[in-house]
Amino acid sequence: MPSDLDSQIEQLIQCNPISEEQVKRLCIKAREILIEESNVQVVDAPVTICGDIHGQFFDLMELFKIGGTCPETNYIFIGAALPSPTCLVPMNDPGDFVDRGFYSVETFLLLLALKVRYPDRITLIRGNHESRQITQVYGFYDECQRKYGSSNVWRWCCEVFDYLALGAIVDGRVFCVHGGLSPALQAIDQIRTIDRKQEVPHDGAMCDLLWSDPDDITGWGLSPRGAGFLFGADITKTFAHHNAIDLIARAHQLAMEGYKLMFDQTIVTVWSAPNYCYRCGNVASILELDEHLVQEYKVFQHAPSDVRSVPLKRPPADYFL
Amino acid sequence: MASIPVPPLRYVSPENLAASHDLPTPKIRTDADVETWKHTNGYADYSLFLRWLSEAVVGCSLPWTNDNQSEGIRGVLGLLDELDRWIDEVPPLPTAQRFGNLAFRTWGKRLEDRADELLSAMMLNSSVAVPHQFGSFLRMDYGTGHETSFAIFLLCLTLVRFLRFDPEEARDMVLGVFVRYLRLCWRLQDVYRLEPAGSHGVWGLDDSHFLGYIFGSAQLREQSGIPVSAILHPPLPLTNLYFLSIMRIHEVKHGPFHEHSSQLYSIATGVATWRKVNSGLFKMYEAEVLGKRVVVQHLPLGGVLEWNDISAPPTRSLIVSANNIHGAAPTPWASGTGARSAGSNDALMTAGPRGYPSASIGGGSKHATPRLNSPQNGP
Ligand SMILES: [Mn+2]
Repeated sequence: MPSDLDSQIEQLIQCNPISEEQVKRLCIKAREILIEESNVQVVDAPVTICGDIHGQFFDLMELFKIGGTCPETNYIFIGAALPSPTCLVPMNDPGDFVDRGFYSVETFLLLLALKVRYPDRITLIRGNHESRQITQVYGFYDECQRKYGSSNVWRWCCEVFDYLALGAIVDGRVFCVHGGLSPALQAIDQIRTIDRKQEVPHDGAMCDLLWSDPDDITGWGLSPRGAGFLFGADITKTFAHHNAIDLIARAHQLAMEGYKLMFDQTIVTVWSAPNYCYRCGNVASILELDEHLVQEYKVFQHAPSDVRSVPLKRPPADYFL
Repeated sequence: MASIPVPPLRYVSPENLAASHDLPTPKIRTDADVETWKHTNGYADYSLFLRWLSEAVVGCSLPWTNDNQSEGIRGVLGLLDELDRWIDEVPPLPTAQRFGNLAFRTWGKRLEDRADELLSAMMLNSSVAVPHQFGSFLRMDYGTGHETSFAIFLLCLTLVRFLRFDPEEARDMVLGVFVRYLRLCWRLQDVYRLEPAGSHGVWGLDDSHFLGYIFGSAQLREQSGIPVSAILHPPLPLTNLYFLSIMRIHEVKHGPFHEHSSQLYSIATGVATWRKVNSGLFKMYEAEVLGKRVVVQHLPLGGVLEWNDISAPPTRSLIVSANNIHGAAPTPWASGTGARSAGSNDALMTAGPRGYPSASIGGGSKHATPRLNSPQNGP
């Protein structure tokens, strides 16, 4: 298996999709590994934390260039790599989700292959986009159809989503989650009691962890996204104090400078998709925690166009035949 | 113009409009509702209207000037100019939030507050919905659903003959009014940093728009000097709505075109003729925009845009004629798309594909602008 897997990783690093049969086996293997993980994965420093990738494959290659390759570097991806709903604006129903990456299939499968190959060196945390409902209506489903000619790959990936961890805790001091906090949760230990192996629910603790946003308010607020909550500095600091943590590292919102610290450095948004949607003009970052949990943010730009793929001539959609 | 052609498009008289208490509201909640919608008079009217507009601009180039613009066209252009001025009066707020500037809600509130006033200045009433055409003020986004709303607005204005049902007017609608609308929307998107609503990202045709590609491909349909693949070599001359839309993409997006606009790239490399592009886009629009619940669920439907089941017997109808104007035939683009020749641009004027009766409905191009909101005109 490893040598087989290594050659698949090699192939995926070239941005070449692996075969449908290989995807199927990879997904089965990934589930076997993920099912053993707890809702909040315990991770040791040093570790590098990455935010949303959004199917920007060549930018992920830039990320590995500045952050080091896996397994040499230990990684946490808080929001995995998937095509994603917009993480920028208020939205209030599933109709507003947008999957955006062009290489979501390759990106997700590469991270998944690395997970299977080096399970202790890469942690994948579920984001709000890793859901059937969202990917079915929008791009990831389209992309799987386009690239494989059937929805099988999409279906197998969705089965993997249900097993992804909901969070991670680094040396007991840094809590990683895609969205944020939930009024239903005071303690990180409470997260461990959630039955996570399901489609992301529309409300409740699991939903909030994947959907909430920090905001300059006091207490809790209604989220304009229509799922999750807004939470203020007081909530954040109380949670940090109560759980004896120094920092909450989350993703889920575009940060033009690549990261954004808030509330006296108790929470940070890490964003790892440069020039998001080809038009936001933002830089991206990763957060390196050394063995003493000292934070270093490494900022990077989008990949130069000469390293990108040669345009593939795909036939136009059936409407044009 | 040998004879005054009989419009296949329904006519809603001032009396019937005034009698209508059915205000447009979002009516689609489920996938079944989408199917219901596809069988309404409103949907059939809209299908026909788009095809009619598209046929009218075949062979026409931008920039478009017409010294004899109708009063109706001038009215709509004036409305869009007015809305554009509001952007100057409601500047974006200085904020750390990079996307979705809250000032857009102020702009939207003004539109909602003044919609009736604006409509009555155009002799219309609120059975024509206005505020949904420029984006969602709640979500601060813009997408093909909003664009569709605007096209439906033009349809309603044509149903009541505020806009004339003749090919010259159609050209002014597409090459004058619609282009003006696009420029307004682009400015709204840029100034208030509106997000694309519900697009398929790189797997959709365009982040925010669709109709410009339909009209543009119609403009280019009967010539062969400009191949479909020409769009791969920007900068493009702004001679048609297709090129205009592509250049807009280059303005806002940076990166390989084949990545961020994969559908347009596939069309440019894989579709041989503009005719095929045009007919394909019609089918795609019907499936990916009009057929998608998440896009059309916000559309205000009803009012002038009749929400009724064609297969059901007509009840209190807005239709003037008692004839069965709406035979339950497939929508115009469902069959024979792109099969018309250049010489028959106005063919739809004389031969409605849905079996419209060839009498009644005070048609022709010589309507006086109806005063539609005056109560004394009511029955
Ligand atoms: Mn997210």
